[in-house]
Amino acid sequence: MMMGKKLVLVVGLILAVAVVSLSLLLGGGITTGTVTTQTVIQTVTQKQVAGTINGAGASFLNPQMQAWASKFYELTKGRVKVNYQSIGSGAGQANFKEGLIDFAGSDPPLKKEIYDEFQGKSGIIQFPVIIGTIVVVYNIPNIETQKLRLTGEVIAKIYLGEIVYWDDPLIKELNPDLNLPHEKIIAVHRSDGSGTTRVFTAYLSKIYKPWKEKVGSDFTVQWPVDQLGNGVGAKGNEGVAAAVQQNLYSIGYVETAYAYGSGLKIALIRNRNGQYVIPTEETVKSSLIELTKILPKAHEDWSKIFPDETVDPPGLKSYPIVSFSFIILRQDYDDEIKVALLREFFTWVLTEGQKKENIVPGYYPLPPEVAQIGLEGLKLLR
Amino acid sequence: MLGVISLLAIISAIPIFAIIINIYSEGLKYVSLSFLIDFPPPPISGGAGGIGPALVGSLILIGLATVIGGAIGFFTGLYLSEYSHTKLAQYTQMFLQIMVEFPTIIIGLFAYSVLVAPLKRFNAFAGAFALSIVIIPYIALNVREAYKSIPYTLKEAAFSLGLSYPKVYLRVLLSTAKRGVLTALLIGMAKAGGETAPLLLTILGTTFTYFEGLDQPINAIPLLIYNFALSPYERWHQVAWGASAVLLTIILTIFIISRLVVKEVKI
Amino acid sequence: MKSGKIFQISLILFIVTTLTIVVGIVISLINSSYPIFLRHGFGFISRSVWNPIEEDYGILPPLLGTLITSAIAISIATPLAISLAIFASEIIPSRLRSFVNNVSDLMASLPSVIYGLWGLYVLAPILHKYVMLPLHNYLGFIPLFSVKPTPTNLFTAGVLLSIMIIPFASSIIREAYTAIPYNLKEAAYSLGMTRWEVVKTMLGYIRSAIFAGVFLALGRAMGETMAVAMVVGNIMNIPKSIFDMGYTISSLIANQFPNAEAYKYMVPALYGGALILFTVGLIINLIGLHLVRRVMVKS
Repeated sequence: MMMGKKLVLVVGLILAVAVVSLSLLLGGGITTGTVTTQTVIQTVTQKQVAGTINGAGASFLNPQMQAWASKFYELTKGRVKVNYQSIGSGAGQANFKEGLIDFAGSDPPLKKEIYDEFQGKSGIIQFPVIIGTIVVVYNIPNIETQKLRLTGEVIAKIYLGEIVYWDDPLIKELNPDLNLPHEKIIAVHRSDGSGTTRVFTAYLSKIYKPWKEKVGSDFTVQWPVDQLGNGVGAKGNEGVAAAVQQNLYSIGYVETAYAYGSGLKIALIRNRNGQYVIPTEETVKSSLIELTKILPKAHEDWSKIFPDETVDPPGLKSYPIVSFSFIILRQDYDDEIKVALLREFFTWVLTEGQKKENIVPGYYPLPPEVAQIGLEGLKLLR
Repeated sequence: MLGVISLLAIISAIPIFAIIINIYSEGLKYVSLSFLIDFPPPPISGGAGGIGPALVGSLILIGLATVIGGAIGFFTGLYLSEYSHTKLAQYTQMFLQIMVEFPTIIIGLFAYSVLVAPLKRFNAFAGAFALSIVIIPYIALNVREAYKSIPYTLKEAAFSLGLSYPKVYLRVLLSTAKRGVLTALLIGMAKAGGETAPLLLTILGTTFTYFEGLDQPINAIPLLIYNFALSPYERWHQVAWGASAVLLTIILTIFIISRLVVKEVKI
Repeated sequence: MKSGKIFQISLILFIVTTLTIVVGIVISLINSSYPIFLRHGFGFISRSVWNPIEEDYGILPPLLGTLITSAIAISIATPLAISLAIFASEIIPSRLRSFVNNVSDLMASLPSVIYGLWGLYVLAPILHKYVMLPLHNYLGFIPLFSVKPTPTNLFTAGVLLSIMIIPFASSIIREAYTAIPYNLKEAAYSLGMTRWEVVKTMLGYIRSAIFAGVFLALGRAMGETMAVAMVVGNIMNIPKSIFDMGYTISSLIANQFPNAEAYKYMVPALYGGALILFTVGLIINLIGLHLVRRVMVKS
């Protein structure tokens, strides 16, 4: 008799959950705290719209996006929920292309092929929301206080497998006072489709012609260093940072926020003017001066300039690998509630979101004229 | 020689104890009531956070997958047991035994191509559907065993009383096979709760929403653990360990219940 | 009897549903993958390339990785699984038997991602420090150990897999062992054999069950995705030693599928990998099932 009751209980529980799920399907959602069904309100004014927008993409953007989403949730008292999943710029663009998400986050702007696909149809809106920099991090024990100096060409050669050991003469001549060990360099790179990879390889392509010819630049590339057995693939910026932390004598590239978050050492990179720099407000500002002169409009194709032309910019103090992080939207959505939510959230991101208190360490706010591009673009939403 | 064998046997059992001890010692300290309800925290800023959406999502997915997989699995298993002489049953049984070993990522691919791509949305139902495919063979094969072990005399007696087929199988025989069927369902639930690959390509994951409908993205504990574990952020690591402790507890609970159920079968 | 036929037919509906799903999976694999075979032919399997810019794909490394990690897993798991089975049925007093069996079953129900988390943060560093580095330093001249190991690599994945598949192999062997007719054991003892000799003889008797268990566990190891993806290293290169980092087909799919739609041939390439994985796994499992059937027929 007891067994019968238990069976009924378990089956009943399962059915109850299923029934609740199905009934909530019609209602809308469960809110924090109390279990109330939240009906979606048809609005008169934009400000009253409630709901969720789903985005995905760049892992670089993730810490900043989560901070923004969290802040906005608080500000709107839970009315606007921004769901962003960090799956890589490549996946973000791929999912965006398939119409699976409302917006994509991506380090490089939309690929030309995908941009062209949308031109006959709804068209797209893409705009920078934050500025990031990519740093080269390394894990060499015993080199605690002094910073490693590298050039783009040396970095390219490491990832090409042409420079194998840390005490290679080419590295030694840049760092005469460092006691570099005779250890193989473990070169960490992304295993998933990555905008960070796209920007990083764009830099390597621009700075060292053999890289451009042998490898090129994309979300995923054929890493020569893998074929030699000295490469490590890791998922996400998070994964690369973790891999460099865990593997002695390794080198990797990450968006700066991830380097700060994990306490990794950052290498000084030589810029066009021969100065060895790391990202600071000053060096980033210097890079931006040139970049802001050539910016397209939000509905246009940015793939011709970014990132291939914008890496290694001129400027005395410029940091070589500066990039924007983009948000990509369609111009056309079936759901007017989504349109209102997207417009509201991203307007905030481009204005209030750029204020110092809302920026996470490691990121840099947009200059007003760059933010303007996005604000103009949002007007195209319908 | 037998001593060596015993040693090897004990060695093979060490990992499970190590895993349970490690996960609880690392993860339990982050688990609290607010941990079970709150949103996941941002990686750098913000507070301690929690796994609320993932926990709710997991419960919903487990429930739905067990209903779908359980229904299909139960009746499939019933057929296999009662009509085992037919060619159909024999081939199906073979297919099921193969299904048990399917790489679950392939099931995820299938659910993506059938339910995500055409609908142009990551959705909870696709995840539940994928999970139910994973558990159908377990439930079917276990239900088959449960019914197969019922003495033939009981079935004869029920029919000779003039009961209809459904009444015989679903009333009389079920009450004897109850324990086996219950065990099957519990095994299914445990599997549904722990699988990650079927969810990777189907549900996307959420931050602020617990449940918005079967046609919307949802989160789940295994997915959250996978995403957070591969990060260098201390806070996300902590959440991953805490989530693992919670998941382990859920699985252990289901496991213990299923053992208690079986215990009463000892003939 | 009419209600009988109706009942049977309504049950068949569920069977058909199940079969449709299985067939559907196979069809979708073939349908989504054939473009890559048309494009590369056999070169898809025989080369090591992952170049989305050129849309050039060759999955030899993940294929090798799947085989190598499974081979490592089986080599470690087989003796341990046999030992566990004997331990559970012969050595342990019958009161503790169910406890040991429960432990084994619990191992089988633990979620893969928890194995992965533990593997990444606990097992990998321990293996690296106490097993891999010593092996490399002292026995590095053997090609098997020649590459300098990192914590996450094919070896770690193999060891983690072995832990995960032991219960599968062990339960099949255990069942066969306990099903051995008692008079056979009696006969062996009466011949004056020691306990160990009797066990050895019994093992010979259930040889096919052992093979069955090994094959089915092998099939399981090949299909495992999450735990492996977290510890295998994730790079495309042809492994030269077991300490190399690598890929398995399932972890390749997990890593690359999300961004695959951005390219023309990556989706077929990944489905192609899935198809190959499925086919190899199918063959292994069919062999295993055949062996299991032979065991059942015997008893």
